[in-house]
Amino acid sequence: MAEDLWKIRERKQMSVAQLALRSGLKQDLIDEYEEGRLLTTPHRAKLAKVLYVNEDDIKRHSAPRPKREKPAPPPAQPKPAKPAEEKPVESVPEPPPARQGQIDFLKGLARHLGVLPAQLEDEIGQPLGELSVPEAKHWIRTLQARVPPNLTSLDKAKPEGYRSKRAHLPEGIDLFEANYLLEARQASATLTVKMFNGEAFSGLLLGFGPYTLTLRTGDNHEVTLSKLAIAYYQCERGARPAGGAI
Amino acid sequence: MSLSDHLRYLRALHGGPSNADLRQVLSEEDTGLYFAIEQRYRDVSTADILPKIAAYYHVPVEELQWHRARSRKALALHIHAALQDHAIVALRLRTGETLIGYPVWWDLAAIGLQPIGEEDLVVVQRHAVIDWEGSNS
Repeated sequence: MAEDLWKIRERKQMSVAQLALRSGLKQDLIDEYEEGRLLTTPHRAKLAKVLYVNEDDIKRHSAPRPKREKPAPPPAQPKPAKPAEEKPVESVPEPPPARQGQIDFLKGLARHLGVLPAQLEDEIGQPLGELSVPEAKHWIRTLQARVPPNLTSLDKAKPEGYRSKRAHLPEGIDLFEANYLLEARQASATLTVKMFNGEAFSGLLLGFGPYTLTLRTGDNHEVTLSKLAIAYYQCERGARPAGGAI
Repeated sequence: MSLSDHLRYLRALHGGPSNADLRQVLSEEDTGLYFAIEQRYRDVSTADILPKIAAYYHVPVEELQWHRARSRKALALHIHAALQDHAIVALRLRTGETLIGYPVWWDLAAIGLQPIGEEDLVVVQRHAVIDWEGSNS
């Protein structure tokens, strides 16, 4: 026996938005069908499919859902007058003691600057272990300001005449590799993958993510390989992406 | 291969011990340091933890120190310099192979290498590069 669309949907514990997403129909249209608009045959077929019912189970004209009556608000009760309260005196909480990481960082900075821990404690005026979080932050900033700006390891390692092209280097993203794999997938390329243990896999690239590659091997099996265990891979001749240029 | 990548490799080889497993062997603070090295690529200033990690994984501490000297940044710098100068690089991989070629691109995870005499680009995972010519050997 045919039922109203909204009744079936609610029985299947689906929202209108979910039904719209799964059926490919607009949410407004589904609302209209639930309100009684004549359901077309192709749309009834789509809705029946995603609701896992027969087409005939859905009424062409759904009866609108009865409006829910709002419960009457409870009668207003007069609020009792608030007794005049004295404002509590706000006590300033003690700052928490410095974290071990902050103290270690301070010691490291001091060592980097050639300052002994005892000298640092003399300068601060108290033992490092008695610092609070804000005090430790203050002293970290103070010591950091004393570190010469060109003493980072990368700066030291830069060769003479080095021109940074940092803006063009996608350090922090996997853009080049992602482009390479995207082109390989679009070209239906066969990928040969060499794993850490020397094992090799070859197959059609079906998909990839930040941590995995999925191939369909020659024996029609799908294999998902963790990138952590991959040493290198390359496309087979004839299906060669342009090299992930951006 | 950086110490971070090597620790990840060792952890996988030892059945993937969890935080809780490591905390039973290392102290709370050392476990924090361990994950700072492995997962956040931090070069901890105090190397006291290295002997403890080496003992846990039954490897010589020199092995960890060797990897510590080969950071991901150092590899990136080497590849980037070769890219700018159109120079050849030789990358020794975890598989035992050495790939020689011109870098075409590099990013966080991989290096696009054009091997000499070959037409097809090879995508080398950065964590698979054990050593390279010009590292602090």
